[in-house]
Amino acid sequence: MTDPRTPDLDPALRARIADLPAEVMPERDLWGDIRARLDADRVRSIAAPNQAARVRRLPTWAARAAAALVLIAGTATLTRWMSRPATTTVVVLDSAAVAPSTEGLVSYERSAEELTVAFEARAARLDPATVEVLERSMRTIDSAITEARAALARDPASPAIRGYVEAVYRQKIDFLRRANDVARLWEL
Amino acid sequence: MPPALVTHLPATPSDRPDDVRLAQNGDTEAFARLYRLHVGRINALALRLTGERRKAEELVQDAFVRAWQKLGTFRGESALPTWLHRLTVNVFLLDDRSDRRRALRELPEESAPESMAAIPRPAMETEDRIDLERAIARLPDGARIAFVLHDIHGYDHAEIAAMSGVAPATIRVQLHRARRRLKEMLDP
Repeated sequence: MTDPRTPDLDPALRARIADLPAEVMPERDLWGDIRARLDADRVRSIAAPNQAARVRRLPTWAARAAAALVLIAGTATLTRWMSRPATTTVVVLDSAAVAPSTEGLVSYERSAEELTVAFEARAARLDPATVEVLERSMRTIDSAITEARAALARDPASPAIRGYVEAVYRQKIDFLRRANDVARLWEL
Repeated sequence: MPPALVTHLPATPSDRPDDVRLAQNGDTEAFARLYRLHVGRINALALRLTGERRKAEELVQDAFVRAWQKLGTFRGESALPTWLHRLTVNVFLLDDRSDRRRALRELPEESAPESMAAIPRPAMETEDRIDLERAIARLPDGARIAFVLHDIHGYDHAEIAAMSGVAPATIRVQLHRARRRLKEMLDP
């Protein structure tokens, strides 16, 4: 075979190159390592929604989960703004400052609890690094819920704040469902 | 990509067109089939570019993980093997880019000895020629990269320069150096 781009290539060397095999199989199967990285990448994509390039090629469910976290982040920021004190004093939230569950939020909490139990049962079989990523994301969501509920406790009549609280809960449930999907991938 | 001395394999009966579409939608089993089909060629390229089995395995893994991430951008304008091939080269050159570029830039000093005396040879190979694969692996990094991309896989100087950020003239010097060293090793 001639190669017009290498006219000065020594004919003997050219012949040797032409004899090189086009395929050389790896000495070990690399797919297991690659598969693990793909799964880990999916998890990271859920936790890092700002990486738009990754989100674009994600399956629909993961893209939705990533979008959910964007909403959660926005919600947390908004509720933080809405719950800001009149002075510049930093408000430290604690459980006593949070209003007790209103009836409408109980069903959200129950669903979230069931999904959390399901995920924790699967988490034992997951790679610890994966669990750490998911749990870190969960802490972010829970923090957003705490802040949103604190704002609601201060202004329980506000339909806008209540709507945000419910939205954050819905995103938590959605995230937990996706986290369970990720965990199931590792069971296959 | 220009004609290469080591050609692509013909399409095989196991090449399922749907696998690309399925993998683009997140089907890892379809992607696993694509991996099995193409890993031999990608590994051959990786072995020649890196000169080391362990580094080649890392490059193969990196390339397939990147392929998974970028598969959504594959529109079929080129054949999948060609797309994978170029992607692997880009991963190799861009990952840890400074090292690759430095290797390509490092030109031999005029006074530096470039003879077989400078290259240790195992006793078992002293009585006969060493094969081309092993000779390629023994080339200095920059010379090896230029030789593999240009003389084996048909990239021209400008393409290699564009991908690596190194001047075409430097690529030419590295190529000349590689050919001379290979001639010394193969036909002492």
